[in-house]
Amino acid sequence: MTGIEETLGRRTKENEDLFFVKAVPVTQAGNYTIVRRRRLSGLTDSAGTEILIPIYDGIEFLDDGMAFVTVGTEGALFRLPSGKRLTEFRYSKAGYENGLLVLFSSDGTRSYFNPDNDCCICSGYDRVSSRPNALGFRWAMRGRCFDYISDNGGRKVSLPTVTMAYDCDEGLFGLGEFGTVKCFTDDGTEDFLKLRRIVIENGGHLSLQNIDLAIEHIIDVYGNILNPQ
Amino acid sequence: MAVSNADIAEIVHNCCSPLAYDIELHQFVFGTQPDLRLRVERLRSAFAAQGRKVYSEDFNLILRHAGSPGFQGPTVSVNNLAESDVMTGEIICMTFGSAERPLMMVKMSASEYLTREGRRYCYGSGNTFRIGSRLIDSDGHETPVIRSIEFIMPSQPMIAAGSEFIGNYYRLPVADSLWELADIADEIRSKGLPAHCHRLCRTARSLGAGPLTLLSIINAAHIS
Repeated sequence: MTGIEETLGRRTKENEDLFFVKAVPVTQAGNYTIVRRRRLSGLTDSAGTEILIPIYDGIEFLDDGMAFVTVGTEGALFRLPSGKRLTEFRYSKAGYENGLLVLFSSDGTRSYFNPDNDCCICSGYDRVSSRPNALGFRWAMRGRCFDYISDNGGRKVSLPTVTMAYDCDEGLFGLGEFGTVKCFTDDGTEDFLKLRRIVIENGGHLSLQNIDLAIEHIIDVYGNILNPQ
Repeated sequence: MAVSNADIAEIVHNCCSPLAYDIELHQFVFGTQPDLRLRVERLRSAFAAQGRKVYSEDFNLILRHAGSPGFQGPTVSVNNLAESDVMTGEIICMTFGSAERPLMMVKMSASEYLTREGRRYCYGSGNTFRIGSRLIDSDGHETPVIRSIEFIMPSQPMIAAGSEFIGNYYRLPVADSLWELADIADEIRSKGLPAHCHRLCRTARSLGAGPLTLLSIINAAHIS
């Protein structure tokens, strides 16, 4: 059992022992009220039903029906109104970046969370695309390298030689180290024929964009970038 | 060649000249500026000031590749290729039997091709180019057995010359037929007109044709 789990266990026991001390409402947001008993916070709904018992040091409401709950300096994500804990207590801060929920760890790494399926998309990246493509993949950047991550379960397509990735609905495209664009299958294998087919279907020239980084590359059937960079 | 695409574009921008008909070479080329030596030295100093070393061989290679389709770009070999899978404007190169000289041709429109020598061929759209088989054109002529099939790709210097002198042709889809370019080149030859290079570039841009396609078509049509 971790230190935080021990603390929560002890506080839960103390909370049961203090049933006669009423929790005091502190803040109200929407249908929820933060209550406090002996400096520890909990959460009730509008009917007064307890969602989180008052054993936490801080509660912060987030969009998408979630709350960031802290014990000491470590925080975790909770789903409301069920009160279900979605992550470990290991994050220092929660916030939004390009519309994505980001959990910051004390070591500086970030984890991106998908509120639609309560899954962590990925962690350890500097930046993640603000929108998935039609195949459910979004690019994730670490240093100068890119991977594609699936929104459904966080499966990673690792592309170690790719130095730019694109928001393209038709496939996973990456700029290779020799300056030409390649198309990849969802197991990370290069597929020259698929690139050819997609470009031909688009009239011989395909515009690939990385919307967040404001980059547009127009390629031919061989993956050559035709527009000046 | 360890020169970045941005450097190639800068070299082409500074050292190459717009499309022109070279009387000595008897072909259309993106030539070089008259004061080339001075321009190269100036650029080399500018690169050196940024800590980059670009050798004379790099300049030579870039300027040669930028200018003429004769300096073949990279290739992709295939074993078989459905005619319908060839994109209009693509250049394929095939070798046959014991012949040394390959057949290089541009796809001009659905199943129609123009060879480097200016001959026109038509293959059925259901045709497949396959190593080990023979080709029969619409006139019933049969070739020896195909030994190799390759796509000729534009080199990076030629791509840079395309965006410099043709413009943003890549913003439009490639047209279904590129015969208009051949017709202009043919008209220039037959009527002895001065080379209407602006018109050729403008037409290429409107047809979505890149530099390698443009040079291949107009040089073939000018010969025929």
